[in-house]
Amino acid sequence: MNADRRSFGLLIGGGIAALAGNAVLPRPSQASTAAGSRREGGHATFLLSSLESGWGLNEKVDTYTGIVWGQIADKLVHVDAQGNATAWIAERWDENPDQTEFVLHLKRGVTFSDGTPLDARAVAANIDLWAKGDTSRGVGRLGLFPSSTYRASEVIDDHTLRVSFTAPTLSFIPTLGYHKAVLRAVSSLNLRPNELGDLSKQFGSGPFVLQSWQESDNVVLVRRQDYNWGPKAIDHSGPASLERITFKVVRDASLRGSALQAGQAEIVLNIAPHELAALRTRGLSVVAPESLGFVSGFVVNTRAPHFGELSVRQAVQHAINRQEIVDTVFTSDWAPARTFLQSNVPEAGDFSSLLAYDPDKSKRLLDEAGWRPGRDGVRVKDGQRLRFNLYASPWVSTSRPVDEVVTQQLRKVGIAATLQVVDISTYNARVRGNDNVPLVEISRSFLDAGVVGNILTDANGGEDLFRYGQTNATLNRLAGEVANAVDRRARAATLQEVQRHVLEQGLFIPTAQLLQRLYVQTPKLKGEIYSGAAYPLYYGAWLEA
Amino acid sequence: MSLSPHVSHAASRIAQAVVVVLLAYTATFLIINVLPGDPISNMLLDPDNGFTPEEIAPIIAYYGLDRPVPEQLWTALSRFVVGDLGISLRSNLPVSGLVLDALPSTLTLAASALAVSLLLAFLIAYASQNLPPRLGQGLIRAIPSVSLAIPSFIVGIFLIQVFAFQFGLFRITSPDSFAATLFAAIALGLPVSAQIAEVLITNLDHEARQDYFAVARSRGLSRAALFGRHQLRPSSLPVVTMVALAVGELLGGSLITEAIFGRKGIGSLVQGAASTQDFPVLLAVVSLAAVVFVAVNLLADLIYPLLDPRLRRRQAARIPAPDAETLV
Amino acid sequence: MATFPAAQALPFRDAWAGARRVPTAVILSFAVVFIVVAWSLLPDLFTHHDAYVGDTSQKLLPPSARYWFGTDHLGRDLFTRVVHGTWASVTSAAMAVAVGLVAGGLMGLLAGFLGGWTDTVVARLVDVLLAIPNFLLAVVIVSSFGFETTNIAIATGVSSVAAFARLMRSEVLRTSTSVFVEASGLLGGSRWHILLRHVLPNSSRSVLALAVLQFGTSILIIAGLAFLGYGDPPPAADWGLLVASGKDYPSSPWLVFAPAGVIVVTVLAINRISRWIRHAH
Repeated sequence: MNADRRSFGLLIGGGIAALAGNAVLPRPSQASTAAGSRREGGHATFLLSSLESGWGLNEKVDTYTGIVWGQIADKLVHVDAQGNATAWIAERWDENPDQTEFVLHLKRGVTFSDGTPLDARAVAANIDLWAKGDTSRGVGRLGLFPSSTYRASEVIDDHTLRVSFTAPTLSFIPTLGYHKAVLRAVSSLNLRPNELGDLSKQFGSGPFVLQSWQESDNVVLVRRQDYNWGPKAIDHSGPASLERITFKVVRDASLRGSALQAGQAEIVLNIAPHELAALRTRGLSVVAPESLGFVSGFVVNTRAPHFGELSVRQAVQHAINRQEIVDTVFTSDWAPARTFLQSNVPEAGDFSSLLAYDPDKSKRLLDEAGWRPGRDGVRVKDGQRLRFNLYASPWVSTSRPVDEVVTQQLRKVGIAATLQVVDISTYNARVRGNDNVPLVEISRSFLDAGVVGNILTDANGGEDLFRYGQTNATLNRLAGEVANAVDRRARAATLQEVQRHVLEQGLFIPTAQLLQRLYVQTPKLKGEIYSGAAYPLYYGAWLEA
Repeated sequence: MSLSPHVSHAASRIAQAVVVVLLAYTATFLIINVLPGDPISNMLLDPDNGFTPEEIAPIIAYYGLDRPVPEQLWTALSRFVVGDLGISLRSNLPVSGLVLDALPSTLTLAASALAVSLLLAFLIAYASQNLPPRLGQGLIRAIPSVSLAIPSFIVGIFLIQVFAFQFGLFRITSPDSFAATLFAAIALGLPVSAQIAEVLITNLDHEARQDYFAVARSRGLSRAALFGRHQLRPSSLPVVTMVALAVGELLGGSLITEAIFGRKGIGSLVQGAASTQDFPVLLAVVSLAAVVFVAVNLLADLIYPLLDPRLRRRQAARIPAPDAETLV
Repeated sequence: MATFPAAQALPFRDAWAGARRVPTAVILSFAVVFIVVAWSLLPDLFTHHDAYVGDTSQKLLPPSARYWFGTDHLGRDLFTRVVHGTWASVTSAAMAVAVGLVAGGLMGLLAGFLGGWTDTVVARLVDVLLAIPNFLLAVVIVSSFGFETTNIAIATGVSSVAAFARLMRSEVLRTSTSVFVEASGLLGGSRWHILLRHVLPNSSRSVLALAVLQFGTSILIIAGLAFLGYGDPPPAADWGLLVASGKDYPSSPWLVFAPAGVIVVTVLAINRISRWIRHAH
């Protein structure tokens, strides 16, 4: 299978090394043979479990529609798996030393598929809407956009604009590569509320244009003949090679897998991990691009009963056998967590020693803190049992099996976790803002690690995931240092300290690498690349004959 | 029968029908509103976004979801009575368009399933009378009971795995093709065909025991003529009544079949709307179903007195107790 | 959504007189039900593995002498889980029947017996319940009240209220106009005496048959809702949930076929018993 994927590396360049899974790692030495085999035409069918979020603005772009948007619309920059931003619609950019002003220089001759130019005015309109939303039409802002420090976008000329912020904003450029930061024609931004979901009125400047669609069922795209402004990261020019891409919803994961095996689809998103081995033996490729962000794991609410105690948090940290989780639920495509950041995040360190599986240590910590095993093995202190509800994340399909293993592991050291599996609305009602829930699962991708500074405290609208408010001096200092950084290297050093502190204190219980987007596909598909958040770009892709 | 009592009966039935639809709408609205939370929060509080609840409050307010429930109900009802179904909170598209888009596929499926189930039922019924008693009949007669005991999603998954993936007879990526629709119709129609077959077999057996049947047989009629004229024809009247009852079941059962076969339709629309709490879509589908049900019953009610009352009584007496899903 | 037509008017106790000539299939059906009841009451008598904590090194093994139904993704013995899930499956189906029987039966009884405006109000309520397709009603109820087996059971029960109400009403009307009830009225029996002494016993066989039938149907509906993802959280082992989670493992087909087989056999047995009750003379 390695040979099947040999051409893959040529087009992706350096970023490819971070792709997970031995079977999918291309051999750089073989890469040069591929260029001649590019084939024009071909029809790719892509199966996915949902297209439910609609086609509106900003947060309406979710994991699934984001994949479709990636082919219809362009972005200002492409962010690779290492978090490096490279040129796309923004050919280059200048930043001032304070990181408060950015001048974007746009590619010339780019048009949206409705014929209007993609110029500085259109980009400014897009950025404004990302930053502010439009509550008069029920449109929220773009979640990860640094809105709190955003000042304005001013058009300098047709191809140049200046974006300014009130405080240092290192994360601005990487955020432009976010899957929701898609550039749309001005007419699409200004649609009335009852038209926002009409995909035929949403125009992008991407390599594919809409041919037909059915709401929450399918989207058929055809290549745009005059397209010639792909990202620099893709070694291809002119129109896309694929003639047509069909995105089709097939809700059941096992049916998606069977359809792929039966040759009824070329690419399938998210197959249950335990089915991957069978698919591989049928000669199919498993592509597991690592995405920038947090790993799978639990954020600890220190206000929850018993979890204000350091010994309890540390006992949980060491009671979890991360290797067993990987072996039971996942495959070798996944790696056990070594910190709470995905390993391709440049600032991620290796803190495996703080996460070592050591149930004896957990028992000792609990014994010393006065938690004694009760009659049924569950530990008791002052008449209180060491038990809590563990809610599986409704957004991550592998959350339930992982939590089943975690529950078994905690039980062995005398901690009783009761697994609760609920839908999104129940989850929001029971878990959000509930200080009785000690472990909250997190699944979040980001393109810039500055986000980490924002979760530590509640200063400046921070998310305060550990619920210390601003009472923890160490966290206050670290959050401030991350927020005010103007230099990536200095910030990286601070982030190392953040990781050590948070893991030592048992505030974040990481489990395994997070692969939210896993692609199983025919080995004939070549030349696609993935963004740092594991979203595919099929502009440079082709299907071998 | 004079005309005026019939007219006043009709008027009162129509009034009752309207009340039923409005009550169904209100009941659904209240059930949906029991749950804390709202579709906007569900969408925006995805941990990937990093929003705080305060931040999304203005958006919730935009959709009027922060108002007291009675006020929301009043707004929704007053729009509903003039035919405005509102805008889907999830997809930002007019609900009427979503429903109209989904309807043809569901109707096609239900109609095909009905045809398939009638065909299967008559085949089974014919075989139950005309196969050698010892060998085939016992097996054939067991089919309806067994197929009523199999969860319908198992049948669907089995059909797809075997006929789509093993034999390649249809592609699940184009579920509206003839072959794909046919197999979805089989999955959906199987329990219905079982019910019809059971009723048919009971009635056929009944006819076979009648004196005139023995007389007809002694006159040397051919097997087919005997079956058609003296057994099947008198036995099919209750089937007509059962078909009317089965329509609702087929429309309701499309939920699972559509989910398995990847078909777009009312069922998948409801499932998507239920999982995202898309109130306007849920309410629209429920009230559409209520309107259809009430209209069909109203029609039947108004037509019955015009028909021969003796025929009606005869039909009713002929339907033996239906099994399993008919009652659901 | 159907009328449940009259069985022949026989006093209830006579149903058991026919029990002397019980067909073999019915005896087998009772045996199946007996085993199911035994599983639900004394699961540990039949199993030797842990139903909730598995050995992850033994995951996804096919059926064998050691693991009759194979093992699941956490290495738990599937047979053990099926047996231990019986209680939840049986009680949830029973709860669904109870809701339908009590609410629907009472509505039908009052409507048929009191008549007048009570009958009209009940008729409209039943119309509203019938007007909302049952699966739809169940999905709406479950997604509003939360994904728990109790809620699924209640939702399933609510959707059968209309059937019970209609049947009860028609049975009450039928029996109250029958000769011996009218005779009893002429002899000066009070209305409530007639209701309890004559109407109820004479209506009960059809209602019992429907209740038994509804029990099997409820198992199927609850399994269907679990399949759509409206089930209880793990480590619950309801049969429907076992099938629903098993279908995610197509390369381990026993995870679907074993619990599905148990469902089919059980429902088949129950339906057979229901038909026997209805037709036994």
